[in-house]
Amino acid sequence: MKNNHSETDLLFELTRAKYGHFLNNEELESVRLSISEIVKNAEALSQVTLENSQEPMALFTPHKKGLEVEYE
Amino acid sequence: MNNEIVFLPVRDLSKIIQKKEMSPVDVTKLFLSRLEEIGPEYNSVVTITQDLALYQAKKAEKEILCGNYKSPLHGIPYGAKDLLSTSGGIPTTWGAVPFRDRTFDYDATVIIKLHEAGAILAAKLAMVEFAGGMGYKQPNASLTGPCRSPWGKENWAGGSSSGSGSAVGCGLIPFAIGSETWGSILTPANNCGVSGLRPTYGRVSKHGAMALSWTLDKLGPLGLTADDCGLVLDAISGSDPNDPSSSRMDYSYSLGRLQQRPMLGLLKDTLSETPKDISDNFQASLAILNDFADTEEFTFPEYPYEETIRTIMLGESASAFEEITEKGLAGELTAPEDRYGPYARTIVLAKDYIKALRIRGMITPQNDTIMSKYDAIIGPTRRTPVSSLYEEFRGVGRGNTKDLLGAIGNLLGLPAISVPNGFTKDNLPTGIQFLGRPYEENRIMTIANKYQSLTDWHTIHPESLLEKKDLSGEGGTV
Repeated sequence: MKNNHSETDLLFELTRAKYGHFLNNEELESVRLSISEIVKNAEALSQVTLENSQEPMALFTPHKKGLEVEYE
Repeated sequence: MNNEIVFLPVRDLSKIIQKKEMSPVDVTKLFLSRLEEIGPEYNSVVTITQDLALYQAKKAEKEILCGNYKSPLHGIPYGAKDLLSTSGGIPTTWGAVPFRDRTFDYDATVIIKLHEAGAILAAKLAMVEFAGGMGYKQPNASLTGPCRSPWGKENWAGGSSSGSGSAVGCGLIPFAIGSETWGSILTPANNCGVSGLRPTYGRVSKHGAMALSWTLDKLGPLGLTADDCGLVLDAISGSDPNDPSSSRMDYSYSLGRLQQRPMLGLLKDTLSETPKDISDNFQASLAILNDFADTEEFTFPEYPYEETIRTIMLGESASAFEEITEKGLAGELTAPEDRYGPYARTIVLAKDYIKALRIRGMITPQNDTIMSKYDAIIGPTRRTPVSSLYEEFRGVGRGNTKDLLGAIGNLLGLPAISVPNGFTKDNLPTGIQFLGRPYEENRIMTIANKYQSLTDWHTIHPESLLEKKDLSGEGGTV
């Protein structure tokens, strides 16, 4: 079973290492709470089963000057 | 006379100007005076662009006198949410203290298009700092202070297009441009008792607008009526080579007639956990709609819509505001929660962001198939009452009230229009939203316009704003 608390803790430690110098203790605690909510969001997404063929809804097409691509 | 002008819909005001019954210069001076006198009371204005407005008004006057009438917006003043870049030394602050004096040397495409239509930029309007992208939770989250609803100075105008809603609702300008990532046009429209249109994603170029979330941001109009929103959308829509996400689908606003009774979808449990006032007003709206439309209850498939859109928004905003985060500029922001808000989202994992985009790709055709049965989906614009200036708005209402129509509508890039549909017992406005399929702005606006032809909520304005000192200098009240 996935241990969300430890995932939150790890992500929080990363955030604290990078940005902790901008934040006081109270703010850091709020950041931790926000991270736990982001982890919960991700958990909800992980419950959705997708086929390998399901692409992200973000089109990429190679660019060539003068060649315009119709997206519609 | 001035009372009659300041709350005229754009369409009516434009007829007066087109017939030369009133000069664009006089109209502009009237609204500039109101922006100056009343704007500060509501914290709705960042910058009044007086010199530019008078210059544009004089130009419009000459053009119209010569018979060169460009559009229904010719000679009409407007305000722009202060995330739209404006050149000529006019600050574009994004509502944020660190950018209080920042300027750009170019105009956003929307500003250019409105200029080409003959509209007159009268003000840059207040907004929540970074359009709410730092995670604000209460109204005091802007360099201009908490923006007030025209219906109560102790009540919030809503965000993040706070000034756009407030200024239109106060009769300070006939229309405004706002933006919405998730709720930021419809909420101020609701809270200020005005109409607000969130167009289809890509309908309006975002070039020159602050980006919060590239695949969620939309620009759109707020005005006194649905019809006004259509007139403005006609001017600002269109493909733009500077915005690759802008749609190549042509758009032309037309005030259509209903050829047959529309079928309106009503999401099951729409009114659950909704306060009585809002619920009663919505039920009254249903009774009006039943005069000319049919309604049918339906459901969307169960998916984590809110979590999906939130993951996209957090991931994209983390990148959009990377400079703010890396340089610690958030520490200067107004709302305490915005000072730490951007840091957590820096850990949104790439695989989760991409999963959200994949879910979006799967949901889009499924939900469109469901929506194809209906001309519009209807619901209360907000299921919580207009909040006080002094409390967290997310705490209002019972529990964590879900915003399913907002989540789905914005996740899938769908258009929606909110129009006023009544008041609570505290005399605060409520709204009804009409959500449509992509590129069906005319369909939802036709239905909203028909609703407004059978109701008068959009014609009711705060009494206190009808009685100010005579700004014309001629005596009497305005």
